[in-house]
Order: sequence, then structure tokens, then C-alpha cells
Amino acid sequence: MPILTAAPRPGHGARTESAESGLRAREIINAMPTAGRSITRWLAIPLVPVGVAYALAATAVAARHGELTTYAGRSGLARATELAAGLALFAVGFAAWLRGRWHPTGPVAVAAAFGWFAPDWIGWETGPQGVRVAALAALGVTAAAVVHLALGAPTGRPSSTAARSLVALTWAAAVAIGAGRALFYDPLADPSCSAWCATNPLLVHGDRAVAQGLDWAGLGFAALTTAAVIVLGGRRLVRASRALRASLAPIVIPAAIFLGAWTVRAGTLAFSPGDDPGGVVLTASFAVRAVALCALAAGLAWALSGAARRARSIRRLAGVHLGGPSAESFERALIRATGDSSLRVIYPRQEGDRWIDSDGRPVGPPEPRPDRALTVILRAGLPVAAVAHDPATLDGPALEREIGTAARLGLDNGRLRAETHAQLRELRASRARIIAAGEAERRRLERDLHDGAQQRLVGLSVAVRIAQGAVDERRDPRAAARLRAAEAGVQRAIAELRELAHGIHPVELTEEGLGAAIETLGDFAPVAVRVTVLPADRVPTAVETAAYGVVDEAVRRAAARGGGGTIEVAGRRSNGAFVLDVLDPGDASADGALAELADAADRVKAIDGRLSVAATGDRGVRITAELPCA
Amino acid sequence: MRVVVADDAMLIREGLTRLLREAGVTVVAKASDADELMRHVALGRPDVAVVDIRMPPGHSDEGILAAERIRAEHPGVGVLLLSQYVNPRYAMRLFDNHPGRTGYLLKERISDLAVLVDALDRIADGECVLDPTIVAQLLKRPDAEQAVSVLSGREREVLALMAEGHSNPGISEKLVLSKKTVESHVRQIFAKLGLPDTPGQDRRVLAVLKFLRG
Repeated sequence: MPILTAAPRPGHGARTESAESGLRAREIINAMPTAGRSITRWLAIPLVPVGVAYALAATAVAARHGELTTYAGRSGLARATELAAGLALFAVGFAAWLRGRWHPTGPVAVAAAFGWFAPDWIGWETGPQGVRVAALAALGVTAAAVVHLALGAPTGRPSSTAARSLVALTWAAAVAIGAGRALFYDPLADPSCSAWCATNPLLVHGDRAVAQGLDWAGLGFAALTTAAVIVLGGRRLVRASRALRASLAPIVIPAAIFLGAWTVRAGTLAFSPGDDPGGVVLTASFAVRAVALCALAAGLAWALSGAARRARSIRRLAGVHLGGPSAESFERALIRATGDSSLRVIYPRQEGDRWIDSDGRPVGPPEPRPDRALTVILRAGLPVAAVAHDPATLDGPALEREIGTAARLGLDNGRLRAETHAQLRELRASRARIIAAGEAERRRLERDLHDGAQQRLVGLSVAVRIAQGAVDERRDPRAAARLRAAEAGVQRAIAELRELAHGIHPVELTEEGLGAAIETLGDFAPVAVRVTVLPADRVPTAVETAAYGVVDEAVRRAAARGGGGTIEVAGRRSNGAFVLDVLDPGDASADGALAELADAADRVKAIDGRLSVAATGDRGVRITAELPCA
Repeated sequence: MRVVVADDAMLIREGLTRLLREAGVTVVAKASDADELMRHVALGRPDVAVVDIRMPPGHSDEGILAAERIRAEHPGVGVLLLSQYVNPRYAMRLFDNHPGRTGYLLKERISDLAVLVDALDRIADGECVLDPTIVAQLLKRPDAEQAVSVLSGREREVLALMAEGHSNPGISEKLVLSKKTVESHVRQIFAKLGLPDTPGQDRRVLAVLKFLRG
């Protein structure tokens, strides 16, 4: 499992403003443990011939000296099955140990294989007693190893605390029970002894009660671990992503079957002592365990080769992922290549310490989480992407290596695409802000004109009127005429100001809404305007303003054309949008209309809406504005 | 004639008061917001309250709300709304709830003393008053223009005066026609326009306005 640590470091000097973003991208360091890898590898190489020789020797011993005392000794088929299971485990164990990154699966599988042949040594009738008692002590190793492989699948590192504790406990129990048998089991004092009925050289104190207690403890542990593997493994299978489930199931299911058969064996021995290889139940348990081990080895091989398979898929991305911004995102391509649907790619922005996702949405800096692996792809020491993924489906360094070299083009493309999306997003937001600010300014201007300038002009007209009262018409007709002219001028100014203010922003739109504003528009327009339907409640200001702009321009165009016909306006809410339809019966050219509605279209687009014009067929056009409106 | 003047702009409040006094109208009180206006209406018992449509605190339709309260709480007190806007909707909203003793004039009309005093008199007499500019604007609407084209020139004049809120006697005086002639014109207009039975004076303005707005 790739482990990355993120260490916050104090900002240096001028860049302290970025401290609030928590983590600086370049301070996320790849801190994977690589030490010890070569040492354990050296250990494995001499073990390979030893393991093979051991397996062959054990089978030979069973064939020649264990006809009555071992399962393998009873038939060629039993020997072949036992040998196949053991060698398969050795093969997958050594392969895992020697190839790729080091993880416990290799040694654990090898231990399981060693333990698997223990009954052959126990039943070695002419063999040294020391070997037989050692084999007796090691009898539980395979079951413990299988528990470990199932709960830690596929790397041998259990992901939950419960699973970790259980694995540790299982190993401890296997060691304790094995040691207990070696020290306290006296075969000569056991009337039901069958596989080994000779002197125990390690015997400290022959005690049947202790030996029987150990049998019961063995049964208890077998039952407990079987249940734990079924419950914990099952839960993990249910919760896992599809890709992870596909690699876990072939490990967990054979392991559970093996442990079930092991429990049956322990139960049979606890209730009717005597490990008789001729017994039907015991023989069946052996057969089931052998087949389950073969399946387990195959499952392990499948899971461990998965990382390599996925790495190859990632490498292939380089060739195919060269499309433009509309092509499949790099993230989607990676998900497809790895089968990990929970995989996410984020990219650092070109400036600052901000991160964005594949669609350019701002996201928090990458942070390691216990259940997610985080692989930061560095280039020239700087992060170019961070991939959060399921720890079980991908090997961090493999991912880093493949993306860093072969899939470089794909990554760059994904990064550019995300950056483009982010810039587009910012541009859109900025346009919406500019339009909104413009509208707010228009509303303010309209208010200022009405409440300020117009009031003053009205006050002025009153003052002129009062002055007129003070001038005697007969004695000073010229002054009276001038005052009359002045008053008429003020009245004209007021009327013009009113029109100007209304043109800047209709007050009805702010105070009463779209319906009232369109009605008032119709009161003054030289063309007839009819509202057929509008929602009773108000829509957001930005939507109202954009919609009004569309109607206003449509009316203006109709007026410029010389009128004729009634412009029909209909608005309705539909799927989170406000859809406005303006029907202009006197306009034949849809293309021309769209070009002339550029201003209105800008406002519509500024709030992520869409404006379209379609010919209605009978010499008219339908202008449709779809405005997002939650 | 006793009036209360309500306008938040001091320049207009004072100028209007002075003009009204010159015309022999008694200004019993001046108010700068709706609450003050309501107090003065309750105390001063004016014939008409002259109210600016935009007043503090919101500067939107406080004037209309105050007018509606006055008409509801003091049925004997008329209301003349002064507005910056050529907006028939506001006038219709007022007439719809309170036909009679209500008026809607453009603000600049206050310098025309004759129009102002005529409006106050008509409101005190129980009529409606609508600014001629608004009526002219409505008559210019393309669909209204087409609809009234069936009327004769004289009938159109009568229609405009009806829309402005004039009563039959008022119209006969303005057009120098006999009361009987005016009544027959009114009947003709309603018949030609396909309007339902000639309503009472109170409802007539609204019916005409609704017809003109299509």
C-alpha cells in the first residue's frame, strides 16, 4: 500500500498568505518504506530450492513410510493433490516475495506451504522423533497463515484494526497451541494415538488433560477464525469497489472454505480422539482443504498480477488519450484502465497552491486518508497531479512510474483540460459578476434619477410657478411669457428624464416582477404585447432581468420593423429552469433575429442560460430563453 | 377645502403647500412619511390627502399602501397620489380596491394649479382622477387604437374623459354638451366597444381602463 505523508510546513516570508490552504503541494513527500526490501529478498532466494526439496521430500516420506499414518500415504491421488496445493502455495508465495514491492503475502504464503506438509513428517514412522514433534508443533501454521492471507488480502496487511488484532491473535494461538502440544503431549500415554505413537523427546510432563484442553482450544480457535473470516471478509467484499471485489473474492472464499474444513477436522478430533487418516470425515476435510489451498494460491496469483495488469493498462493510455478538452478525461481513462471507480485525479493550479479536479472545480489540497491511497505524481520535483485510489487495486509506485513516463501525454492532456475548465469556470463567474454589477448599477441609476434629479426638477417647476404668481401679466408680459416658457421647458425635461430612467431600468421589474414589467412595457410599446402565462411567484432577480431583456429587445425589434401583430410572451418553470417563450409573428428570419438579439443573449449566457430562435412556419419566429433557476 | 400634504422631499412639500394656499386651499398639516401622514389624517380630518407614491423607508410603494389604509380607515377622506411614473397599474390597483375619492396624477402636474385644484375638487366630490398623460398613453396602444377606431371623434373624446375619471356632468361641462347628449354618447361607446352594461360612475373608470389595456 502506498503511504504518503503530508507535512505542513510554515510558509516562508512573502508567501504566508497561502498558509491557510493548509498544505503546500510540493511538501507532500513520497515516504514509502523501501528499506529492508533487498534483505528480505536475499532471504527468499535460497528458500526457493529448500521449499521445493522439502515438498518433494515430504511427499516421498508419506509414500514410503506413512501408508497408514498420513493422508498422502494412502493413495497417489492424495499425494498428487497435497503436492499440488503445497507447490502452488510455494510458487505464489515466492513470486510475491521476489517480485514487485515487498509485502507480507509472500512469506505468509510460504509459511502456509511449509505447514501444509507437517502431517507427512508427523506420520514418518521410521523418522527421527525430533522431526515428528517439530511437525506436530507446526501443524497449526497453515490455518493461521490462511487467516492472515484472507484478512490481509491481497497484500497481507489487514486494513482494519479488528482484522489486524485478529491476525496477531491467531498467530499467537497457533504458536501457543503448537508449543503446548510439543511440551505436554505424550503419544505413549494416548490410547487413541494413530499418526505418531512413539516417545516425545521434548516432553516436559505428559498430561492428558492438558493435551485434550489443547484440542478443545484448537477447535475454539478454528471456529472463531472461520467465523471472523466469513464476517470480516464478507463485509469487506460487500463494501469493496467492483475491481477490488474481483481481486478479493478469489482469496477470501477459498480461505473461508479451508478454515471451515479445518474446523470440521478439529471438531472431529476433539469429540473422537485419534487422527485416523482412514476416517471418512477427516479424509474429506483433507481433500477439501487441499483443493481450497490450490484455489487460494490461484486467487493470490490473480490478485497480485492485477497491479501489473493495471499498470500495463495505464501505460496504454499514452497512445489513446490525446483528444481535445471534450474527449474523455484522464480521470475517466484511469478509472477504465484500473477498474477502480473511486479513483480521483486532482491537479495543482499553475499559480498558487490551489488544486482542481478534472472538471476544473476547486478542491482542497490532497490529504492522505487511512482507507485511501494517495499517489502524488512529481515531475522535476514538483507535483503535476495527485491520484487518490483504492489501496488494494493499485500499487502506488507502479502508478507513479507508469503515469510518470508512458502516460505522460495523457496526464498533460488531463491537466490542460482541467486547467481550461477551471479558467472557463472563472471566466463565466466573472462575466456573471460583471453583468450583475451592471444591472445593480442600472437600478441605482434609475433610483437616483427618479428620487434625485426628477424630484429637483419638479421642485424647480413649482418654484417657477410661484415666481409666475409674483409677476403681473399685464404690467410685465415679457417676463410672464419667459416664465411660461421656462416652466414648459422644465416639464419637457421631466418627461424626458422619466423616459430615460425607465429605459435604464424599469422600476416595475424590481418592485412587482417580470409580469408587471412586461405589462408596462406593453402599455408604452408601439406594438401589442400579451402575456399568456407566467409563474405566480417571483423568480430570482438575475433571471427576471435576463428574461425582461429578451422581451424588451424583441419588442424593440418589432417596433423598428413598424409593428403589426401581437407579441406573445409565455414563461414557465421546467426542470430547474425558467423557460421564456417570445412569439413574434412578424419576423421571418430566425438567423437575423438571433444576430440582433446579441445583447439579450449575452445576459442570458451570463447566468448559464441558452437563447435560441426558431422559425414558427407561418412567417414568425419563436425566441426561447432557458434560464437556470433553482 | 382642507388637505394634508405628504412628501419626503422638503422642496416639494413646501412648494406644494405654498401653491395650494395661493389657490385658497387650507393645508392643515404636512407629513414626510407614512406614519406621520396617518396621524395627521386621523387628527386633522382633511377632505383630501395629497400623497407622494415613494416615501421612506423603502421608497417603493409606501404611498399606495398609505392611500389604501386611509381609504379603508377614513372613508370620508379622499386620496390624491402623486407619482413619478406613468404607470396605469398603480392607478388601477388603487381604483380596484377603492373606486371613488381616489386620484393618480403625475408629480409634475402640481405646478399646474388649475389641474391640481380641479382634481382635489373632484376627489372631494367622490370621483376618480387619472392623469390625462396616462390615458393618452393607453389610447396610443396599438390594440386599443384599433379597438376604439369604431368610435366617432366625439365619442373618443368622451371615452378619454371617462378614463380620466370625469362624471357625466363633468364631461358635459368640459365638452359643452347637454347632459342628455353625454349620456347617449356613453351608452353608444359601451355598446360599440362591446362592454357590458354601463356600470355606475364608480366602476366605470376601471372598466374603461381594463378595456384599453387589452
